[in-house]
Parts: sequence; C-alpha cells; structure tokens
Amino acid sequence: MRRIPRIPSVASALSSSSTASAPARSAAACLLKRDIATRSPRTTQLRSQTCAHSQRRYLSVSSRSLSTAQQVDTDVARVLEEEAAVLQAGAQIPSREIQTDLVYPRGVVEAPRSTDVTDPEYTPAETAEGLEEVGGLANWWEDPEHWSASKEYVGFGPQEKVTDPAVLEVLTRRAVVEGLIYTRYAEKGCKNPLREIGGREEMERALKVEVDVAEDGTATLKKSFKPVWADLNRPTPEGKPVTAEISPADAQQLAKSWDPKWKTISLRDPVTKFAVAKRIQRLTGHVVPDGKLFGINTAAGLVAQLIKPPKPKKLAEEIATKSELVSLPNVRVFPRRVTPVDKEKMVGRWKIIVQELEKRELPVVGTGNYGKAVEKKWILGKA
Amino acid sequence: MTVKALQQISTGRNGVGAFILQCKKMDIHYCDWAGSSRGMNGFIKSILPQFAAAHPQIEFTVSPRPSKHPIIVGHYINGREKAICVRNMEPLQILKKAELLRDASGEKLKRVTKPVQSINDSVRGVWSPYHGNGMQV
Repeated sequence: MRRIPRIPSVASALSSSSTASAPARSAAACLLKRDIATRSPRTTQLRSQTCAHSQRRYLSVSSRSLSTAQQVDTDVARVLEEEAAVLQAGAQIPSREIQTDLVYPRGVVEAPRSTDVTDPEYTPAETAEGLEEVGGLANWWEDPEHWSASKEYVGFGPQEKVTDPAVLEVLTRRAVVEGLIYTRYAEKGCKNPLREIGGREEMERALKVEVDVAEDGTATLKKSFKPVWADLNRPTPEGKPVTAEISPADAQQLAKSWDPKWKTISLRDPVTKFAVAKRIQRLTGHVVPDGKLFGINTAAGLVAQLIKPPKPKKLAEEIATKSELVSLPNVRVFPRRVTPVDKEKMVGRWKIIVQELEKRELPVVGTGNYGKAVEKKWILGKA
Repeated sequence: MTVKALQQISTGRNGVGAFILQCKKMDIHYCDWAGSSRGMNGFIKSILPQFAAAHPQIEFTVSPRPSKHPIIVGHYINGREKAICVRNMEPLQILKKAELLRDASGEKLKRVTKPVQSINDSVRGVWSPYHGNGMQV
C-alpha cells in the first residue's frame, strides 16, 4: 500500500474526506442501516453523526480538518477513490470488539422526547437542579457483579499460610521427598512440575516414601516412590483444585512416628533446594526468601525457617520467659514504668501521703482544680 | 532512701580492712519501641545477667521508660545519683558506662592535680619501697 507522508494512513484520509458522506461509506453506518430506516429524520441525523464519530474512533485517527483533505493532489485523490471502492465492494473494517467476560455497559436506553410524551400533567424541567440522577458509569467498576471470577487473583500457593508447627513439619517432609524425586527424574522432564497438590491419597503416598539418610546428609529413596512421580506428572484437572488437608493432631502423630534423622537430609544441591522451596510455596503458602534459602542446607533448617515461635512483644516478657535475670536475687524486673507513686509504695509511704492529702482536701493524683504551680516557671527562669 | 552515716569516732578508710562499693543501686531504663534502645535491649538480654551476677552488692532494677532514650542511673551511698544516657549505643559501649557508674564514688567530678590525694596528709610524704635502707623479709 502506498504511503503518503502527510497522511498517517489511507484510512485516516478516508475518514477526514468522508465527513460529508460518512453515513454512506462507514461500516458502522451499514450496521445501523435498518435502524435508520425506521426512525424519525432527526434521530437519523443524530445517528449519522454518531456513526461518523464512532468510525473515526474505530480507525483510531485524529480528526483531520477538511482543508487538509482538499490539499491532497490528484494522486492522493485517486488512491482514496480506490480505497473507497474497495470498502464499498464489501471489505469490512475489522471488528475491535474485545472478547471479555467482564460486564461492561451495553445498550443505551433513550428517554422519550418531551414532545412525544402524551401525559397532560407532564412539564419538562427547565434546569437540572433537583432532578434525580439516573444511570452514569462513575462507579461501574466498584460493583463486584461487573467483575468476573476470572479476574480474581489466584496465587501459586494457598491464600492462607499454614501456621501449625506439626502440619508444617509434615508438609516439609512431603516437599523434601517430592523434591528429591523430582531431582532424580528431572532430566526426563516433568509435564506439570511440582504444581499439582493432589488429594489425601497423593499426600499419603508421598509421606509413606522411606528415605535412608547417610552421615553426610545424602538421601537415598527406598521403594514406593514411583507412584509419587506419577502423581507429580499428572496434569492439573479442570475445575476447583483438590487440596489435601491434615489436622494438627494427625500431623503431630505422624511426625512422631518418623525417625528424626530425616531432618538431616542435605539440601545443598541447588536443584533439590529450589524444587523443595517451590513445593513448600505450593503446599504451605510460605515463600522462602532468597537470602534465607541460601543459608538453608538441611531439612531441619527449612523446618526452622517455616516454624517461627511468636516474637514476644515486650522485652519484659522475653526476660520473664528466657533470661537468667529473674533468678538473680539482686535484680528486679518491672513490666511497666516505675512511677513516683510506685516508688512511694515500695517504701510504704504512699498510704500516709494519701491520708495527709485527703485531710487537707487536696487532690491525691494530679493537680485537681488548682492548675499548675505558678512558681515553677519562676524557678526555671521562664517567666 | 540514702544511707546516713552514724556519728563516728574515727574516720573510715574505704579499702583499708574492707572495701565497700560506693554504688549501691543501678536503675536500668529502656524503651520497647524506640530504635535508640536497641543496644540497651541487647545489653539487658545478653550482658546484664553476667554483670549483675558479678556484682551482688549492687541492686539492679530494670524497668521500661516508654518513648524516652535509654538511661542508667547509679545511686551512691553518699546519697547522690549519677545518670548516663546510653542512646544508640552498642551493648559493649553500655557495659563500659555501667562499669564507669560502678567504679564512681558518687562525688561530684573534681579536677585532680596531684597523684595522691589524702584527707590526712603525712608529714613524711608518700612511702616508697625503692627508697631508704630496704626491708629484709
């Protein structure tokens, strides 16, 4: 197609030059032909303008003035005629309708014109003040009904992180076993690598796999791990994913039944480590930070990273639970600020102070209605 | 409440016969929230247990002082107090300050111009083992 530098595209030139006869040429006008025939002349005119406008919008060009089109030489005019002929011959402007499952505003409902209203009591308003506002798209996307389920965020891991220590330990063992199996078969390729959670059966199969751990942490998988590889290779089923859940009590019992040596399994191999970390994220929702992942070299380290005792909020609480300070006879730890009143109470003077203050009808705490001591600022040299 | 000395017939010489540490109490204040207390919180957790165990004659009180810088207040048997602000200090720097308070006499700081200070000056001067006839042991 020939390009003319002064005109961005042939279509734009067509758009600008066709302003006068837009309804006849535009594809949108063709679509509305039936409607035009059945409407009043005013509506038809309105529609024509709308069509011209919409055509310009579909072609995504800026509106060129008519004078620009008139300046094109005969060569350009010929090209335009050719283009117009092609369009009239049936070539359609490609539809820009976006395929989406979002609910967006469609269909315009037009109110009857005031002249068409037959109700004798109807009086058209002269100003917009006090009229009820109908429609509008201001808050369209605020309505959750206008959003489809496909637009909801779906993370790789579960939305809620697993926090129970026993469950985390069980899931870590499963992740480590599956990571080891994945590493063993990684060269063969995995169709659905470490993505599928599976149901209860898959989980039990993975947890039943026995692992022999050498002194240096090298793990050797015993029999019955091939079904687990098959589970890992299974494609994701359609619909809601099946998730295996285990209760904290069951998890505790299960964790006790294992030889604690499994926690010495080495994760120094980066392929295994990343596979396990990925599996951990899928199963528990915990993302192991890169900085931490670097320092994790055993399954025990991974468990320690995932299971975190709640941090004591106050230093006094921490001292009370951990520190040797509590046992020392010459140390006293107070959980809150020691106030002047506390100090008086410690030496047994507070009762007497209260009695004396009450006898004089003075406020016990604070200044009461007396305000601050005026002499204070004199003493401090502020006055 | 300070210890008031009884009217005494002879002047006590601390360190002659017995030594009484002049610092009798230390108040250790910290804040749970403020960053300037980070070192102090570490000091309380890691160093204070050993320090307090090594000084059973000093009473330690640990209490929060919210929204304030951490301080150590030393109380002395002469009735005076000495407070040191330890904001933004590391635990080991705070230990130095605690040792300073422990070793202080509680008196106001005075300019020291002479190597030996005495409340009962000797007319013969300071005894020296390197002068005179020597002593046969």
